[in-house]
Amino acid sequence: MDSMSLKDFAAKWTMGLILITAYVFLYMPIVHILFASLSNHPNFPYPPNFNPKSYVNLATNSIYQSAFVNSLIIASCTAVLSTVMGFLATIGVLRFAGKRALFYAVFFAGPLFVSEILLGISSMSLYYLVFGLQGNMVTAIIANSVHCFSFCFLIMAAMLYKYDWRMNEAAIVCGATPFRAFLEVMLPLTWSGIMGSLIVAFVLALNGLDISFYLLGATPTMPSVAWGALRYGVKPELYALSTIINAAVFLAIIVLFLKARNTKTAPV
Amino acid sequence: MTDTSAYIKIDNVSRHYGPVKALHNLSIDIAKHEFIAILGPSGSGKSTLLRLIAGLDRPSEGRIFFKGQDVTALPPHKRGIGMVFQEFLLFPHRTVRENLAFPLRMTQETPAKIKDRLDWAEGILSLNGLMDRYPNQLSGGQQQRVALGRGLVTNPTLLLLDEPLANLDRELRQEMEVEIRRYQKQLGIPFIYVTHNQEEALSMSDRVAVINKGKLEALGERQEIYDHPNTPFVARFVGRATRFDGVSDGTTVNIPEHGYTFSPSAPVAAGRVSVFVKNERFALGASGTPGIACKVIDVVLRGPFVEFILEAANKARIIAVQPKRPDMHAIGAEIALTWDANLAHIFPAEA
Repeated sequence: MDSMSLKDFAAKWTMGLILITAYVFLYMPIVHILFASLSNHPNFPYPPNFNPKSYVNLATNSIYQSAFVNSLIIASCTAVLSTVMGFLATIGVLRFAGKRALFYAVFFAGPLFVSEILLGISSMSLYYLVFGLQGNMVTAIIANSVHCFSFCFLIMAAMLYKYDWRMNEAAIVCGATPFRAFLEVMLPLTWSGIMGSLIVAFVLALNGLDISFYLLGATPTMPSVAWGALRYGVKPELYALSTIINAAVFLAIIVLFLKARNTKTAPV
Repeated sequence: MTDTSAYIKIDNVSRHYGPVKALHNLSIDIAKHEFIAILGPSGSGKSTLLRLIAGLDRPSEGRIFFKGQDVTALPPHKRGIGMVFQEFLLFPHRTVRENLAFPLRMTQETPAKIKDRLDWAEGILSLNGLMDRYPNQLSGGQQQRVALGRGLVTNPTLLLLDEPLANLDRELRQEMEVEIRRYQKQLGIPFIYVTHNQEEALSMSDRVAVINKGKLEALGERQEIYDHPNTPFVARFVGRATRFDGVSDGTTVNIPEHGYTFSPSAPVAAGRVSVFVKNERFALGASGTPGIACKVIDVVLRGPFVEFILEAANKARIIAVQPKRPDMHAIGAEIALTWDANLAHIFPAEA
């Protein structure tokens, strides 16, 4: 009996230890950035101290600010554009493709395997040759959407695969127009897939260096400024900016988590 | 000119999917107070017919009229119908109250009217205390009631039911059969009830339309369909019957495989015939008397009645249904099987 409880005790603590190790592994780099942004010695910020200087500098540095705004615009537009296209593609494949569904799906997922650098270079020359477009924010959004589309398609296809399309019919015979049925029944029931697609596309476009780099040239984005900074010595402002973005992401996750917990009584 | 006076008129409707004829020249008139069952095996086209009436599908030919108005081209959300699906298809992200209010909101009812109709549905369907639950917190029978309620709250022109009891267990099903029929009588709108289950069709409806291979095989009062089937398919599909291959000489019919001969009440054209006898119309006589000599090989108790599984001399199995009596035949008993010649249905043999 004693040995039994000892064994349970050991198992419990071992599991706990593994869990903590896993979290440390995942979050150490993120916490390190936080410390570095607040330290007097950003190159070795231990023991941590509190110095908001880098945040003040950040607020006055126009390069970082415009990079942040540009990245935000690119990421938001890409997220919406690729999710809308991915959603339409998913409906097309699941509803209208019949026996050829797999064939169409494979070719929608294909761009996933093309490297980002190639896509960036190719898009740059293609847009210039065919449309006479210089690299700008619009072409960057388009090229990023090409890259993100396949991810969005796969995420939403996995979600909508389980959706019973007759739910729409049920709403329609209740007197709803097809659009109303989509808005009031289908959208809430498939929202998690759409949300997942938006988030993934947003993060991919926010962090993607290659595509933005080739298509934007001198226009700064977060990854391109960070990459440039590496060559001339990393500035603490970069740490501050990363920390702010990380904090925003965590806040978003916490909000989503709380929302999910509140609606737990109505699992979909 | 077609007569459009019937409350619901399905006029010579066909639906083809490429070369496949799902429905073929089908016409049914439905009166306002009628409960009509559309009975057919799976793949017979009965669900296609329901979808055409709902407007979820369009006929290739023919017209559909509601109250004299041609609705053939009208989209489903403008038809003012209610529909109950086999899987209920309640909206899982909405409470019972929101599910019931959904059709009312779609038809732009006032909040007062919505509340009024919700109270009505709550009362008539015994949903008290369930209004704020989500569908996945309800039992099958409760979900069924909510689905019915959602179909009925708007006072629809008619209610379409697509095998709504198929997912319920037997006892609940029999309970709901009685209930659904009661609602129909109370509301006075036609219920069009699609099923492959002949017991449901017979227990609930006023009239039965039997559909087979996209064609209307029979349409009539349920008693009539049961007692006087007009085609071999109806004789086989409605009720439980046993088929014998026979030969008619004009006045008597001989069943060679059992060496049994009987004289039907009306003359039958000479030639090969199919004889259908409903299982409950067999008579079990003492062994040695005229009839098909059989041995009772099993007895299935079904409460008020009994199924005797019989084996004839040629090893053919026949099921005879009898009321339960204390002195019934035991397993292993030898009997002679006969039937009232007036109650057998005889058709020329199918090619």
